[in-house]
Amino acid sequence: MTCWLNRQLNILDYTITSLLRRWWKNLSLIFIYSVLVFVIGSVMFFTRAMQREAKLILADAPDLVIQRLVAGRHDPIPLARAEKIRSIRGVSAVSPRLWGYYFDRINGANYTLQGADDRGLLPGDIDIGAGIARSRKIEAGDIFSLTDSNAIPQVFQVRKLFDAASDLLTVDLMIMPTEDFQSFFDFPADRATDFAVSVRNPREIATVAGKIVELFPDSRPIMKDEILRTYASIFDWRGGMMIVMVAMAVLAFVIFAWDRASGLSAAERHEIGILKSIGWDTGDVLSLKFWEGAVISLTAFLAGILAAYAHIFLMPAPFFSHALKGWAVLYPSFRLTPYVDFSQVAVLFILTVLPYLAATIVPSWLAASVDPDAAMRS
Amino acid sequence: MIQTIDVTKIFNRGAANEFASVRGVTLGVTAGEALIIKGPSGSGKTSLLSLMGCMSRPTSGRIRINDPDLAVKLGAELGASLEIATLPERFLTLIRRQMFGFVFQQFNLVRGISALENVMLPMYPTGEHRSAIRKRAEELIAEFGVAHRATVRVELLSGGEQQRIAIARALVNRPKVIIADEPTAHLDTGLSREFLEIAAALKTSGTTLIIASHDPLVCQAPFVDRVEEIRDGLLVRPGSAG
Repeated sequence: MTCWLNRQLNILDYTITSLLRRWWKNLSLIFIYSVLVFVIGSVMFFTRAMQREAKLILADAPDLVIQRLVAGRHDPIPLARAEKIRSIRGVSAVSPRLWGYYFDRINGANYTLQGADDRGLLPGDIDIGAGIARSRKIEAGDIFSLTDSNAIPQVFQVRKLFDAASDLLTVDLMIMPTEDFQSFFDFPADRATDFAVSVRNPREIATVAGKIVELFPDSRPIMKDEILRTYASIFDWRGGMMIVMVAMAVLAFVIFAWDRASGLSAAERHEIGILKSIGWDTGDVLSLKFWEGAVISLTAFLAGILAAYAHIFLMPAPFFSHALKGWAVLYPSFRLTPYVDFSQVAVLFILTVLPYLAATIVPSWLAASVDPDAAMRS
Repeated sequence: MIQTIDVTKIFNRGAANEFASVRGVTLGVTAGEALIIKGPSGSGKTSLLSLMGCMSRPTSGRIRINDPDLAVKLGAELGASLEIATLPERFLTLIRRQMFGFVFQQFNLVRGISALENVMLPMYPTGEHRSAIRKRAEELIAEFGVAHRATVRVELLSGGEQQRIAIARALVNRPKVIIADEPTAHLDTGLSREFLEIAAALKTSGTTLIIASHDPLVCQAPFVDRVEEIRDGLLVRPGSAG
């Protein structure tokens, strides 16, 4: 065992020396390799993190959202309808919701404004998302000004910033008391933006939706499944772009590995011949090439994956955001919540490190399995 | 100690450029002997040395190595006399490592690494501790008077220094046989004489020497026991097997 270990340590020692003498070539190799891992890793982290954000949003989605349409457009729904809907068999709760959008001219960003009375907010209080706090450079306790629908500035005091698991969920959100919301938007007091309806048996959602339309023909029910489908289609579309990007990166990696595999130079073959003639066997040469491949691929893999992590989670994914977040033009910039799926990292490891090791070892094995005399003459 | 029996080596067999570099050579060398194989370029000297040093296998014929120590190391079932043409590659490697030290015509040092590391290289697969390997290599380098050049990359050494490093590398595993292929081909007379002094000292210490050369300085050296001539792959004076 000691003998085997010493042998491996000696070979590893020579591997390091061997790599250092071609440091420029190996450094550029590690750089290219790292960039490929970085691209694939970034796409992978980005996709998973976005999917997780979406999952968090959908976890709280109501079974049914009821909107009112006037001339085919969304219009506030009368609160009086809530009681009638609640009386439908199978409905467990109906919650009127007040929400709308506010365009912030100062930052050129779109915020979601919500009115709610269940958070203990006093008149003039407001809770805001971290993205708004960042862009407006404000903290809890600061005074915050918004321009209402009559172009009159209104002043609010920030009670707290949202501390949610998902930045995407709350980054652009502002919540104020219902009365403040109604006066801010000049919103009728007997109306709501929509109703969130809970249904006891999920299999009855479609039936309940049908009954609501029967009762109020101008209403538009949106089922949770439909929301899920919409999100799924958005992520599928973006997922398609991801697949194209990953495919390109993988293709680049294959070309790169192939170049290595077919690129055993005459000098390398000659050196293998020398090593064999002075008493190294094929296994020793393969160990040397294995360690060479392992040092390069592991260094590149670690560098690439750490850079990808930093790119996606520590920076706002500058290379991808506009292409993949889609709404980034108006949305205040947000940071994805760090989330690493280790099984995916393992897959990436298998897809990048193992082919590279194979591409390094196979040609060396072919060169090392001939007689040292032939390897020396080649 | 080493005996070739009717050995033939054919390259590119079956191809249009097939040629036989060694043809039916029967030759022997005894322990402690200094044998010179002389002949012009392309006569088959290097191929014969490769065959005797277990660097390649013959196309036909047999090569026997008779060494009790080696037989013990390889396993008693193989017997005292090893028929190397049929041995698996790992045994050939072990024989090369234990039995032979090679000094090549172009020295074949590994470029880009230091002289000391070049000398240490053959010992890496032995499993000895690195400090022991380094100590042994440093001793040899000092013995050949190039200790002050130990950390210098080999391509920066002079021809004479490279030659001494190549000999030190050949000796690091304490081989019983030194095989040298045209060792003075690229050396001036002074350096050639220096090599011959080292070779004579090795012979005195009991090392078997097999040297391929057509340099008269080598062929006529006082320590040489026997000179065999090869031409077009054939021994010129056949029937001298030991």
